[in-house]
Amino acid sequence: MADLKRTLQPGRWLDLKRLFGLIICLPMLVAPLSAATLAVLYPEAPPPYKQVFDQIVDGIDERHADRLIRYPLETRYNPEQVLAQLDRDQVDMVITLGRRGYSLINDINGHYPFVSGALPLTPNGTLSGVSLITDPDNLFSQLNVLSPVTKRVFVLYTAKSRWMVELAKVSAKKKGLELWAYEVNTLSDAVRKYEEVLDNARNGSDAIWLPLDKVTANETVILPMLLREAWDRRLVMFSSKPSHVKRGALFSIYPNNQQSGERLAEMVKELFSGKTMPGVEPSRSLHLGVNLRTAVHLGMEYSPTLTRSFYRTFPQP
Amino acid sequence: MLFVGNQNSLRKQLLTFLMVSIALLSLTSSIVAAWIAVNQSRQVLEHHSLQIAGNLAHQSLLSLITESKENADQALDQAMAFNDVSGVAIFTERMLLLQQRGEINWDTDQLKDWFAHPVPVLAADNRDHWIITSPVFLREEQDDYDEFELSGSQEELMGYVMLNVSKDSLQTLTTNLFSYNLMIGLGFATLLVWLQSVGLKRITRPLLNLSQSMNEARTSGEHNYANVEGPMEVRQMAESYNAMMQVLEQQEDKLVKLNSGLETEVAIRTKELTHARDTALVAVRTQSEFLANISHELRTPLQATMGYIELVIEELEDEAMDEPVEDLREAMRASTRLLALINMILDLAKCESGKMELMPQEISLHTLTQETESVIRPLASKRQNAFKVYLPAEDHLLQVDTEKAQQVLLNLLSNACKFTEQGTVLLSASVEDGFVIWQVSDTGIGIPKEQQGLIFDKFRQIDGSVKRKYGGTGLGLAISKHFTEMMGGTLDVFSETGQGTTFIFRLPLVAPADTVDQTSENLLSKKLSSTDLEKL
Repeated sequence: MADLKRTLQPGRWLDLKRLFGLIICLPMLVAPLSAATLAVLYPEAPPPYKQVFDQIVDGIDERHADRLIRYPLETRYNPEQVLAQLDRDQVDMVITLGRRGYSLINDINGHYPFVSGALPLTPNGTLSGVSLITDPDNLFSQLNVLSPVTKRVFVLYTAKSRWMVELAKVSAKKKGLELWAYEVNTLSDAVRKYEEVLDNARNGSDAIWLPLDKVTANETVILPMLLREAWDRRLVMFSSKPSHVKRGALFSIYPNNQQSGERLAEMVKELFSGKTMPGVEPSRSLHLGVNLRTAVHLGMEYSPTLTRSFYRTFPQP
Repeated sequence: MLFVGNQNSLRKQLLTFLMVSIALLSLTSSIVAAWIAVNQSRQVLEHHSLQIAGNLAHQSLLSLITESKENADQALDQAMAFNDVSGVAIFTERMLLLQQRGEINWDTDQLKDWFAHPVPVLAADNRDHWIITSPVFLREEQDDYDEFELSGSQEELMGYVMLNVSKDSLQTLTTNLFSYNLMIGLGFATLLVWLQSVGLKRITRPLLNLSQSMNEARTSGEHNYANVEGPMEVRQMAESYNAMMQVLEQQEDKLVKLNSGLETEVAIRTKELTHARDTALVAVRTQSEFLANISHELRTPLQATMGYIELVIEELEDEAMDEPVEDLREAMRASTRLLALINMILDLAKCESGKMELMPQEISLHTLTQETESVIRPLASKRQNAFKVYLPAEDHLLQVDTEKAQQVLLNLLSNACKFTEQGTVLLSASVEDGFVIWQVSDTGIGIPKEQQGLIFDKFRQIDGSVKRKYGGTGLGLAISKHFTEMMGGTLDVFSETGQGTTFIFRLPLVAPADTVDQTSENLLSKKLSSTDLEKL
């Protein structure tokens, strides 16, 4: 080192030190934006549910070009071990999928920017993610396509679903639909209100929308009653829950897992970069599931082109 | 024992055993099968009833949510449509009745216990019905996989349902199962018994034939041979039996031949023995008759001679010719001894020829003994012997032939006095166990052991020197023995040489009945004097 100092002149030695420091500091300046490590916490699920999480992670991987670490969580996992592993892996941001990953948000909140997915999330001001709840705008768009004669939509909801109904009101107005929304508190209130709605509903122009609500779309009491009455009265009934299509609802929208994954990657990157707080977004999937038997019963005829565009149809051949 | 009675045939025993076994087997299997079927049916009915309760709880949910009786009707009607359900009821979560159908009763106090279970249960098991209860929960239904839900499932108690399930069908099924199973079992057992009977008859026939052959051989005594047939064991038995019969037949032939030879020989020997016996009897009788005759013939002239001697003595005494008188008296004494000897020979002859008879009389023990004592005492003093008599304090009445008893005593005592010098002669009497016992003891010369068995023979004395020294005929003890045995008594001797002799004379207090009242000649026509006894 002494020989080197003697060889180099003092002025030139100063220039070299600046250049050396610049070379060392350059990666540190660009790293947060271009080489962030993303952790995905998701449940170790059995088939066919494993495929859902794989598709979401594929979507995340599609949008996240840098280091992506997958953390499959077993049924009885140790949260402390997972958090320690996140530290050891020098993770920069986290995406939780499903209830098992969601249960860690209290631990990682404040340590890592995170978003959640694969759950029926509702906005609470602090949480960001993609909800499984379908965007009513999409539902109403499909309603206009599948049942163009429908003008009035009846919906019962509880306080938990109020945010969605607010979106629906805006969307219905845009779509030229008249939304009759009733807030209830209990299941018995819902039963009585549905009886009123059914008594007043007109077949052809009226439709009933079942939101993703455990009270107003109770599958033990409400769903069987509505399916029977709607069938008897030839009323259009569509649902925010895809499994209702199989049981007799006219249509619903299945989540697009790949698309959700891509959107989650974008949202966590936005959080990491500190640009915005994305909040909870409804699912904007267009994977339409249609019960053709119900459609026929309601007197609707769909062109082959339209039918081929359906993501799933029931009864399945 | 029912199965192994010796009176029944083998076939009957086997058949009885099999019949009872089959009947027990059929009965047991029928009862067990029926019990299992009934138990399974009961479980099925219980499971079915629990399912109905579960379904009713599910269908009652709407009516409980709305608390609407109208909504409950459809669920109750569906439950009542099941055969065994005789009553149903729906209760609110406060255990208040919402709606009911059919016959169903409950005690309000019991409801809390009946509704305490989180699943459908058999709450009460009565004799003719069950009470099934189930809670009604409102559950948030979820997909099979709850990872897509924010929270786990929750449930809310909405009320209860109650079913009254009748046991009529179960009881009818139980009765039918038991009766049909028993009928089928008994029918099957009857068929099996018939088959067993036929089979056993065929199997046991060779054994029966063999048994009959043996029985015929036993009853007839002939050597019947059995047919060799049937199973291996029976054939072996028949062959063994036939072989045994063959051996028996051969042995019997030999026995018959041997028996005939033996019979001939026995007949010859018997004839010889009879002849010898008859000869001996004739000889004895002839001897006795001879002795009797000769004695009688001797006694008559002797008595005449003695009479004449006595006359001559009287005449000579009158003429004071003392010297010839003394000689005649000596002649008289010799004649008297000779007469005594002849009398004894006559008695002995009578005994041996069976002509001696008994004549029992009543006499007191003391009298008989004292009379004897008076006769013997002079004889005892003759050889300076001490004569002692012991009598029991209490006198006893005897029924004996007095003459013969006294003669025996006199014979024994005279012998004792004769063979004892300057010693002691003892006579004691006692009564014991219906017998009078006289004991005659002396301190005389005694009798050697080897001679003791011979002294009761007639004409027998210890040896010639004794006879020469003491005199006597040797008939006294022989006659005494004869008399004792005639009177049903015993006469025993105990003696040591030089130490003395003891005779034990035992007589029954009462003479044997067959001797009583018999007329008898008084053989001892006169009592023997001490002088006569000395000569015996």
